[in-house]
Amino acid sequence: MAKKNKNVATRVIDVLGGFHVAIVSMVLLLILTWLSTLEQTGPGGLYWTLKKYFSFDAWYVVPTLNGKDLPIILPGGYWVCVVFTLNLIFGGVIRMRKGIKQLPIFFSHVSMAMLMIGGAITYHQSREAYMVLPVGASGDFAFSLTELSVEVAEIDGYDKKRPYVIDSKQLEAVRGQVGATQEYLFPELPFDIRVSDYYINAKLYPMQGSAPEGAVAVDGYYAMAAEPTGHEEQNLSSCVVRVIERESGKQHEVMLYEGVGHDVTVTIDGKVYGFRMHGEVWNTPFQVRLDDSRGEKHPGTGMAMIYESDVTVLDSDGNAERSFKIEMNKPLRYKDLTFYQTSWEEKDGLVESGFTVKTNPSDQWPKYSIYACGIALFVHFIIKLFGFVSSSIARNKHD
Amino acid sequence: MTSGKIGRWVGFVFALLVAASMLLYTAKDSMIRRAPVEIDGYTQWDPDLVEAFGSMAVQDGGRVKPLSTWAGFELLALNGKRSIKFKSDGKSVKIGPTEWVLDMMFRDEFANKMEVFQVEDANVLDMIGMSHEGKKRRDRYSYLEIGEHLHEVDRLRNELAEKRQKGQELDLVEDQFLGLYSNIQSYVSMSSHFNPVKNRMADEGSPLAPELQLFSGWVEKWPQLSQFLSSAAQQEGAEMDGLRRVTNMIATRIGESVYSDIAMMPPSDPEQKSWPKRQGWLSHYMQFKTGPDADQITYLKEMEKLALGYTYDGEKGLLKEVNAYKGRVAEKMKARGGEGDKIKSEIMMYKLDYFYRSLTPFVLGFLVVAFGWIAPATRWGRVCNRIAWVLLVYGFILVTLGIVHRSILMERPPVGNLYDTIPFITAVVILVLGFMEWLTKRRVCIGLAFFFATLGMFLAMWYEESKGVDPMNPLIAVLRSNFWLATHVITITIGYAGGLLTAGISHVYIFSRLFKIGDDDKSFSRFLTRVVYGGVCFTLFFSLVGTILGGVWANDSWGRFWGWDPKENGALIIVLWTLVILHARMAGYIRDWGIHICSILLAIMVTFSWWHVNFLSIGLHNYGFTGGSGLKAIWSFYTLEALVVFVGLYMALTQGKSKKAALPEKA
Amino acid sequence: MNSRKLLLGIPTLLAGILLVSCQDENPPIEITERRDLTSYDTEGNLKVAMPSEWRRVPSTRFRDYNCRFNEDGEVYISIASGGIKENAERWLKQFGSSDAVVVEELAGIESMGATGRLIEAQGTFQGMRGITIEDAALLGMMVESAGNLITVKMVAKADEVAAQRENFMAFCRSIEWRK
Repeated sequence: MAKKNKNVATRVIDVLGGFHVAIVSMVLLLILTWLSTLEQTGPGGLYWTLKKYFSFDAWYVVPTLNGKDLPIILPGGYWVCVVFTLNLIFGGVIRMRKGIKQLPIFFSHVSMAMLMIGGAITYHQSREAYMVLPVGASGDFAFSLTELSVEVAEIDGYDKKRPYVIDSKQLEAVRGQVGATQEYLFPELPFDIRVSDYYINAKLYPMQGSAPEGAVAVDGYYAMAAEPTGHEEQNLSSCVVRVIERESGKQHEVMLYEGVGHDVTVTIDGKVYGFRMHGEVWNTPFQVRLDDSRGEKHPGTGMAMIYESDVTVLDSDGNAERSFKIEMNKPLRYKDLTFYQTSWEEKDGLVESGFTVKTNPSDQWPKYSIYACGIALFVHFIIKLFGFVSSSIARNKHD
Repeated sequence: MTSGKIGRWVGFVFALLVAASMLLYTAKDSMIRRAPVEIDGYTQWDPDLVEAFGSMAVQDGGRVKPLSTWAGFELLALNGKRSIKFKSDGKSVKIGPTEWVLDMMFRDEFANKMEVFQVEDANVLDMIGMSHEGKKRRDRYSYLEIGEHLHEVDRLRNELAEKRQKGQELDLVEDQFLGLYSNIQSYVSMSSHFNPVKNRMADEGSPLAPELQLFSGWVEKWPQLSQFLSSAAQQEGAEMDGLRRVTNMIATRIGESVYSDIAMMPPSDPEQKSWPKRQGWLSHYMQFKTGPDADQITYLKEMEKLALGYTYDGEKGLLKEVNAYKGRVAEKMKARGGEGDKIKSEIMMYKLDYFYRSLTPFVLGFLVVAFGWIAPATRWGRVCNRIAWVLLVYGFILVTLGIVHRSILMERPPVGNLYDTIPFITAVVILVLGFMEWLTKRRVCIGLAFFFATLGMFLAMWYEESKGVDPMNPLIAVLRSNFWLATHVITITIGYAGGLLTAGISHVYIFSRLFKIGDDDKSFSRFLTRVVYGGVCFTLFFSLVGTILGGVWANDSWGRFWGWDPKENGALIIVLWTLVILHARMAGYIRDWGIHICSILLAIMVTFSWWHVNFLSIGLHNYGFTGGSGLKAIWSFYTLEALVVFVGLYMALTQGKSKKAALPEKA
Repeated sequence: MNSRKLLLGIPTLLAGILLVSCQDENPPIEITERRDLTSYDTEGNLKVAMPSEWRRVPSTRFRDYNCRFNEDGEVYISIASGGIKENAERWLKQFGSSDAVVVEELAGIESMGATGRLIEAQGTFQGMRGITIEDAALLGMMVESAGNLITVKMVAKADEVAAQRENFMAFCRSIEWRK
């Protein structure tokens, strides 16, 4: 192959699409997968291990085993996947030799590239939240179990105005970082705030006398940092919000705690403002009413046998639009939301069902990819097997 | 002797060693370490009674099963074995689970002497101040020996429960103690099951009304009778003495009634799924803490009929009552959608014991193939080969029948839990290696097939024994989808099988190169390499399809395609590694040695994915396969395979050097 | 040839990592995004209009709606059990008074569609958790509604309580059940 007249782009494609990169990226992915498996059973739990190894912001990873950091630096999983996908496209699709014999492998490369791209779309675009409904009630919101937000709203008598939302991405800088502070400006309100002392998991206590050593005390309450559990949904976070009036410079302090089910307030210029920390709230585009819900456990055990619910989707006037049945392995897909039945509780005769609400544009891509890839590989290997079998039989006849 | 012949003899001796060690393992439990305990005067139960009693229905672990199955797992959990051996009047006696349950329930003077509590570490007994002189560190104890220390047992258990509640972790010995405590609870539940109703309240000639001669009569009319009894307690007089005696009798029976945790009778309401268990109901009811329960009262009456049948008429009486009871219960079970209609089938499955029986043709087959290796081209060799094929097919049929029978009983596809994977993988390995043998006729694949089959069946037995839990358990909600269960789980399991058998062939390659077998026949090693290449493709196909189908299933059920959890990650690792092998070979980075060494590594990864991920969050906290000794076995396997990899690497490097020196380089 | 490219790639990657991690400063973030109200924002079984001089603080097990004013003045709504008489007497005991309470003789106030009763006291307050306040005052209200006993309790220095009297009355009158 002529080496001269290869411009930079071609050379980049050559390298990125080569066997070298393919093998290195797959081996790296293997090592990252293996190490993250070992690490997730440690104290961090699945949520934080995934953030460390596979999030978009993780350029590099220093693995931890048995509480000790290993003396190696690996590239971050997301980026290895990017390189791997580029390699699939450049090497497995563009540069690959094309011919009738190579067709099945070509198709499987294409479908695997689609799988990876679908995965990226899911990572960036999908959204997931949790909806709890007692039987008979209808809901129009879902909330995240792991991504927290801080909300600020003006309260006027009985009513609350539309809240301003600081979402979890904007809280990243302070989340779990001792000593970090982040300032948030509210141009439409007469104050700005500073968030600090954000504990991933904490317990809130009313003050009795003075606060203990190491606790953060605000207005008769103090928060004690607790060891995060391995399950992010069970951690209850706390933070301190310092409200700074822009005109007068006066400051107020409030303590926010995920376990508090209501706003705490600060009054500025005669107006009451409510502050709250809780899972990101997601208005669902339509209301869902839980008509009935049934759950059964395997007799004599605590193991769930079936969960299922009858729900009705309501239009904006509250009238029934369509009815559905949601079962544990059969979710409800309507418009671009999917509702999965994930939990079921019965307390004192009252039944409550929990649904995971998800939007995922590339929801069905993996299914189509694997069907395509499976068929392609099957064809390819059958052809090879056929060759092997016929040559073996020929050899046996010969012997 | 040519190097080829030495190699064949090495292979033969190796085969003998493998067979011998397997036989020794089975024999080790029958080797009596200490003198067995003496229980004089013991008589064996009537076999008809044992069969009838054993085929009664019991609801346990979420499903209805024969009493014999339930008894078998109770005994396994306590004793580590499904049989009990002791000496009686100079003769050795061996009894099975159903007989043991009969002894506990009706003749506990014998049962309490039997040494059924297996204690892994005598330090556990030190914690309750129990002496263990004359016993080994890991030994068995009888209820009689432990019974003297029940107060200590209770006290310690409460202590540990408090510790657990405070979130403190228990150490190994404390964990084992809790295991022992749970076993004691099971024992007492069984041995006290009939105690409240074993005897009449009064003989037939007594002045008491006929219903009141039975304990169940008192229970049924308790609200009125208890008033009568308490007023009688205030008064004096001889008749009052009699009534006071009755009160005491009732109190004793109530006290003994709280331990029973056995569900032997279906409820009257066909919609109700759970069968009633007595537990604390009788005690609460007689103290007016809870109301009457028709099912519980019927349950008590039925148990009374059985118990009195034995007390007053011996084994014949009990047999009669058991058959009558089964007749009554059969109607109820039919109304409940045919619950328990598979009991006979299940009893037959355990009797046939497919997996255990398949060991015979497999071990034998391995020896026969090894014999054939000595002189493969002769008539002797061909006869051996034919016999081996017969044995292989026979063994395969047994394993398959076992898998199918279990599927039918559980009404689900063949693989539903970890235990199920073992016979299934064994069957796939036999099938694939059998097919390879038919194609290539080198006698290598068939030998490997026998080796794997034997290993697989041993693994199944070992796993079942150490878990001590019925592996035919109902599925959790998310698995209750037969389509996905059939496709995803089976595909992944076939992928595991592929990875293991490919590595097996690579072992043959490395050993044959090490011992210079078949050096005179270059096509032999080339053949092995081609088979391994095919095996890697096979593994890739099934693992990839299985892994992604698993993701599609997860996405449909819970809304997330890939969650990076241990089981998923394990499967991904296998897929990635097989891809690496194939692409590295295509790029020319690895050749023969490279492929075989990589395929040994593949075995390590399959083991990680199949077994190791299940142990990750448990640590070394309990004995038995699901804990310490399972992890130890896994690590020993890793070490062994690592050794093989080093041998392979060494040979590859030294051979490469000598080749370079001797021959012109091939392209 | 391939190794040269690799050697080029590593330093570039490292430089990129260093660049990214060098940003320790967190510049202020402007928040203008708002979300629509949902049924999430109308939680709780009581509707209350809290005076703007007060501030709401976290509820506790016994305080369903918990507020503070000035530095450490406390006022909170509880949903209790029992009748007005026993609870009022319990409150008065905290001020050292063991007088019997005659419910009908207490001043009335309209709240939750029924007649609530006002309870007042002055003196040294001995509360739970060993709290003692000298020159304290109690201003409280109890009303029976929908089978529950709703109590509102304000305890602080006497002059502070007096200053908040109007707010307290308005607060009590505003309490409603949320349907």
